[in-house]
Amino acid sequence: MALKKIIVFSLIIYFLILFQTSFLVHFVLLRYLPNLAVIFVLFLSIREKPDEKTALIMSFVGGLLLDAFSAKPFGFYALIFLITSLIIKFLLRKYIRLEISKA
Amino acid sequence: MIKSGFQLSKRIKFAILLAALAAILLMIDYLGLDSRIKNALFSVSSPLQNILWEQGQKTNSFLETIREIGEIKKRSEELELKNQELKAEIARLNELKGENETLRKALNLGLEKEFQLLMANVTGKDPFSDVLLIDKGSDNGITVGSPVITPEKVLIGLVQEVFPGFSRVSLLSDKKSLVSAQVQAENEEIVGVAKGQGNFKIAFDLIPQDKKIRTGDLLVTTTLGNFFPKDLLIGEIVQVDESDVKPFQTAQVKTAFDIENLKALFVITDFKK
Repeated sequence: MALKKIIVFSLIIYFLILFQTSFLVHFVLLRYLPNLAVIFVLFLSIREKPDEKTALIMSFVGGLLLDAFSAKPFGFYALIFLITSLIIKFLLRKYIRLEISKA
Repeated sequence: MIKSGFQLSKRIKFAILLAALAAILLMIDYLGLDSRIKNALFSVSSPLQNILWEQGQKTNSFLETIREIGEIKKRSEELELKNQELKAEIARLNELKGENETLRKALNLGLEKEFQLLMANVTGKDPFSDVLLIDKGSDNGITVGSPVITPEKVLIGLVQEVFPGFSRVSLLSDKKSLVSAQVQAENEEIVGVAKGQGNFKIAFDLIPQDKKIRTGDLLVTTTLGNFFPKDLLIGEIVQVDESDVKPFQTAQVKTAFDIENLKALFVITDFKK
């Protein structure tokens, strides 16, 4: 089930990156192009249950895919995405604990 | 204690995992495997990328066109405004050109040598009498009674009323107008009075019965009373009314000026008496 999720999410990120690098780049009117892969990974990290690990894996995979299409050294985005996702998970876990302790 | 130990080991495991990942990535970079990975991914993605690229170009081109239409419209409005400004400028320059031509005409006739002149423009006409309004007044040195002429040295009338910035000019054809005039006949000067009849008509009156005047004779001013400079053209005799019962002859005079073409006039502020 988790593997199926990972494959589906990887494909989504892959298409988002393609859409961004081949379609959105034409729109010179948009001064700041949104990084769709980052948005998607952040969305997964926030929505996911604290004990799940899919978002972490997706962060790393998404980063790797973005690395493949960027001029940065391979692994640059992969590590940044992973660390960002870890921080979000850590903050969310802490926040939920506080909520529980209040209850 | 056990739990914290478990957590610690979990964190260590995670840190080791992260370090291992970083090391693998570094190795990939170091060995140059990244280019192979990228190449493989590009090969797979290129058909879809080509389609997306083309569609992106088309969509962007379409949006650019829409944006340009807005810009063209804005530019068109700006140009329209500029065009109106230029038209107004042309109208102003044409007015100046007309004024310039009038002044040249006056200079060619040498009017400035005979009189002290002040140029004025007609701004209106009294609908009920033969009175014009000009755009110069007492602030410009005009006084009541100043003669008003055209650049062709044709007498128009007299300044009847003066305001600071405007003056009313009573035309020779005004019913109140009475001007000493003369006709240059063959060997003599026939003096009489040019009386305004209204509606741009003038009658030459008080012509002695023994004097012979003809149609086509020109009527000019005299220096009698020192109201006008000599020999300013008043008009042309168009009809002579001879009557044995009247003590004097009368003639109808066609004014030398055309009210429709009056634009720039000269007010004589001083002349040699």
